[in-house]
Amino acid sequence: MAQFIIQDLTFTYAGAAHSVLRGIDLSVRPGEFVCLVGKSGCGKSTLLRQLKSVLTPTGERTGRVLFDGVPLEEVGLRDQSRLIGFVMQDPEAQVVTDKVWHELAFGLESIGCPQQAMRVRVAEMASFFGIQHWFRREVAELSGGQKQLLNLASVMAMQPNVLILDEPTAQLDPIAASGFMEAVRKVNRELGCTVLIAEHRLDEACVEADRVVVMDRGRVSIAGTPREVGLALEAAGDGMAAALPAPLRIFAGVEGAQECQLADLGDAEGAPLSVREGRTWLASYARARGLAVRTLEEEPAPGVDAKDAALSMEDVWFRYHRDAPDVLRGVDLRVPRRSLFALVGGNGAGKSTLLKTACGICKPHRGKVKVLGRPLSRWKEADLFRGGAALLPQDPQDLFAKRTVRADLEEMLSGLPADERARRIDEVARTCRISAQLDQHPFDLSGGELERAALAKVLLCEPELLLLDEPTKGLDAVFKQTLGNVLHELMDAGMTIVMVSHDVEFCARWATVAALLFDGVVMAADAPRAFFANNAFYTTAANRMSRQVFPNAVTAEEVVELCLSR
Amino acid sequence: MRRDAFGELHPAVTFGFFMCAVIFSIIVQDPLWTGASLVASALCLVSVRGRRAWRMVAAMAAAFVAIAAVNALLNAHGSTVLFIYLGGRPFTLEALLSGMQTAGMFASVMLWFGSYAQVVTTDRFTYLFGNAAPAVTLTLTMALRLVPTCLRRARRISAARAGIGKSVSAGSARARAVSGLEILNALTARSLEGAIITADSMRSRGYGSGARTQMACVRFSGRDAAVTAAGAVLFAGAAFGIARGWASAQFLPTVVLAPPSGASAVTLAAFAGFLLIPVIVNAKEGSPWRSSSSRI
Repeated sequence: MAQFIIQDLTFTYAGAAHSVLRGIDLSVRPGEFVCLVGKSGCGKSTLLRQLKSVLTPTGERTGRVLFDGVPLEEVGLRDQSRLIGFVMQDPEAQVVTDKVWHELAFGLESIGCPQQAMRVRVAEMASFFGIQHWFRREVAELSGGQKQLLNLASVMAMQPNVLILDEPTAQLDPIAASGFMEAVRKVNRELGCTVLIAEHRLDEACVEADRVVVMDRGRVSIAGTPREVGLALEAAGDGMAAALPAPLRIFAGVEGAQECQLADLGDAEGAPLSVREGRTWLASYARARGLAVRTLEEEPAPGVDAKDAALSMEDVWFRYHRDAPDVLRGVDLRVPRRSLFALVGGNGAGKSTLLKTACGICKPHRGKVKVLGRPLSRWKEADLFRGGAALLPQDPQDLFAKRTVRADLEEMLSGLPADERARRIDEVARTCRISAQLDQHPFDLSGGELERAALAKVLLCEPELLLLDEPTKGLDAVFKQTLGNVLHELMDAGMTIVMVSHDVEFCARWATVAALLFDGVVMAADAPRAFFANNAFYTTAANRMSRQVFPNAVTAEEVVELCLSR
Repeated sequence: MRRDAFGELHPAVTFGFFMCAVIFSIIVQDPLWTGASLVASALCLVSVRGRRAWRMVAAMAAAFVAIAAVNALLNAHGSTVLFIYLGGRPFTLEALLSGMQTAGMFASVMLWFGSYAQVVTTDRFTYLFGNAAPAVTLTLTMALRLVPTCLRRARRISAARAGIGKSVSAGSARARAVSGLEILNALTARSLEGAIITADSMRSRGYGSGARTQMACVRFSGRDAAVTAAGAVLFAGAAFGIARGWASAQFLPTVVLAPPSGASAVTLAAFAGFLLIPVIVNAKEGSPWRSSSSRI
C-alpha cells in the first residue's frame, strides 16, 4: 500500500484568484526517495505542506490526501507529529531551544515520550548523525550546515515513517549542502524512511532519487527516473534543464549519443549522470566517432597595471580581533576594469572578508587597498558609496525593512525629487527585471527575485565597482541565467564586478577573470578557461568529465559543440 | 577545559544551595557572620569560574568600599564620633560599621548570584521547574535564546547596510539616527518572519498536541545524596545559631553584638562550612588531578 496517495488535489490560497495546485495526482511508496523539482513559485512548498495538517495554509482545497490509506485529516495530531517529519528551509528559525540536546528532545517532549525511552532515542539519533560531539553545545555556536543537520536529527528522533524536506539546502553552501544530502540519503538507505524532498539544486538530489517529479504552474508536468526526466526536460528545451548534471546535458545534446550507451543498461537508463559515467561514455563516443584530442583557443590572461586596476590589493593582512588568527594573509590582487572577476574558494578561505576589506568595512592591519586607483584611506566614506564601490551582502534579506520593495529602494534616493526617484527606480527595476515585484512585500519574493531586488538597491549607489557576496546562493537554474545576463549588461555598461562564490559552474559560465582564494591568499588569477582547465577539483563537471578528450572545454555547451564539430 | 565538580551535581542540590546561601547572607547581621559569607562567596566564585572571577571580585570590593563610605557619610546617628566634616556633620564609627555590614551583605549576595549564573545554567533551571510549569519554562528558554540571536542579526544587518554606505558610524547625526532606526526596523521584520517559522517548526513537532514530558540530562547520584546530607547537618547548625540570635546585631546608636560563647562559635563554624561546600567539593575533585598532572 502506498504511504501517501494524493488524488486530484487542487488548492487555492484564501483570497487568491488563482489556484496554486491544480489537479495533482501522485502516490509515494514506502521507502521511496522522491525528488520534487520545479521553478520557484511552481507550488512545490504548497504541495508539501498539504501533507501535514498543522502546516497546511488556509485556503480552499478539493481532492484527497491519504496517509497509509486513511484520509490525512482523520490522522490525529500526535500521530502526524510522530509519523510525518518535516524539515524546512531556514536552518536558524526552525530551532526552538538553546541547547543541542534539548532541541533533539523537543519533539519527544511534545508528544509525551517517557523519560527513559527519550534518553535512548536522543542518544541514538545523536550518534546516527555523528553529532554527539556537540551534544552539550549552545545552538547559537553552530554553523548553518550544523544547524540544519540538527533540525534533521531532531525530526528523526521521533522516528517518523516519512521525511518531508522543503528546499533544505537552499541556504547552505555547497559543501554543507552535500553533507546534508548525504545524511538524508543515509536516513533513506539505512532507516528505510520514505523521503520526499523539494529541491532546486537538481544535480545533488536528483542523482540518487528513485523518482523525480517535475512541477510546473501547479501541475505535475513530468515524472520518472532521474535519467528519463532529465532527457525529457532537455528534449523539451525547458529552462530547468540548465540545472541538470552536465554529463546528462552533454549526452542529450550530442546527436547519436544513444549508440554509445553505457554498457548493459536499457534506453534512457544508459545515459550518464555522474562524472565517472560521463567519462566512460565520452571515451567510447570519441572512439566510435574518431574524435581527436582538441583544445579550444585560449584568450590571454588579462595583464593589469596597478594604475588601471578597478581594485588593487597589495600584501593585505586582516584579522577580526587582536588575538584571532589572520583571515587574509598577504592578499595580492588586481582586478581589471570592466571585468567580471570571480573568486572561488572553500568555506572560511576569507572570501567575504576580502570583499569587506575592498570597501573599507574591514580595515587591514597591513597592506594597501586601492579602489579605482585611489587608496581607500583617501576616499571619504560618503563618496566611496556614491559612485565608488558597493557591496551586495550574502543574505539579501538583510537589506530590506520596508513594506514594499519600492519603499526600500526609495531609501537610497532620499533628497531627490519624487519624479526623479520614480524614474531611477523604474530604470533600475528594468535592469534587474523586478518591475513586476516593486509593490510586493520584500519577504514575499522568491529567493531569486529578492536577490535581484537587493542588487537593484545596491545599484542605486551607482557603483563603478560592484562587489557581490555569493550572489547565486539559493537560486534556481532559470534565475541564475537571468542574473548572469544582468551582470553582463552591467559590465558592458562599464561596471567592474567582483564576485566571490562557491558556485564554480556559474563562475565558469559568466566570469571574465577567475581566481582561487585559499588560506587567506589569492593563489592564481587567470582567464577562466585557463584557470578552470588547470584545476582538477575547482572546475566544472563538464570539464572534469571531458578533460581527457577536450582538455580545456569548460561548459557543457562547449563540450557538445566540440563533439558535434569535427 | 575547566571542570566544575560542584556544577555537575544535581540541579536541585546546587539550586537549593544557592537559595540557602543568599537567604543566609541577607539575614545574618553580625560582622563575623557577614564576613564569613563574604569570604565564602568570593572563594566560591573563584572556584567555579576560575581566573575570570577576579574581575567581578574586584568590582565587588570597590562596591563594598563605596557603599560603606556613602552610608557612613549619609548617616549621622551613632555615638562614637571619629571626626567632624563639612562644618559640623559627624562621621561615626557605628555608621561606618553599619555601612560595612550593608555593603558586605550586598557584595556577598551579588557574588553568590555570580556563581549561581555560572552553575545553574538555563537548561538546569528549566529542568528543575519544567515539570511544574512546562509552558513557562519553555517560554523562558526561548526568550533567553532570542536576545543573542537578535544581537547577532543586528550586527549582520548593520554590516550589510554599511556595504551600501548606510553605516551607523558615518554621516550627520540625523542620518545616523535614521540608519539606526532602519536597522531596528529590519530586525523587527526579520524576527517576526522567523517567529512564524519557529511556530510552524514547533507545531510540526507536536507542540500543543497534549501533555508534555521533560528530557533530563542529569540524575540524582550517591554523590548528590552525600553532599545533601552533609549540607543538611551544617545547615541545621547554622540555622540553630541564627534562631538563637547569635548572628543578630545592632549598630545604631551603639553597637550591640551577641555575647560570644562556645556554642555560638560552633554554629558560626557550621555556617561557614555550609557556605564553603562548593569550594570543598571542587577542591576535593581537583586534588587528585593536580597531583597526578604534576607527576606527569
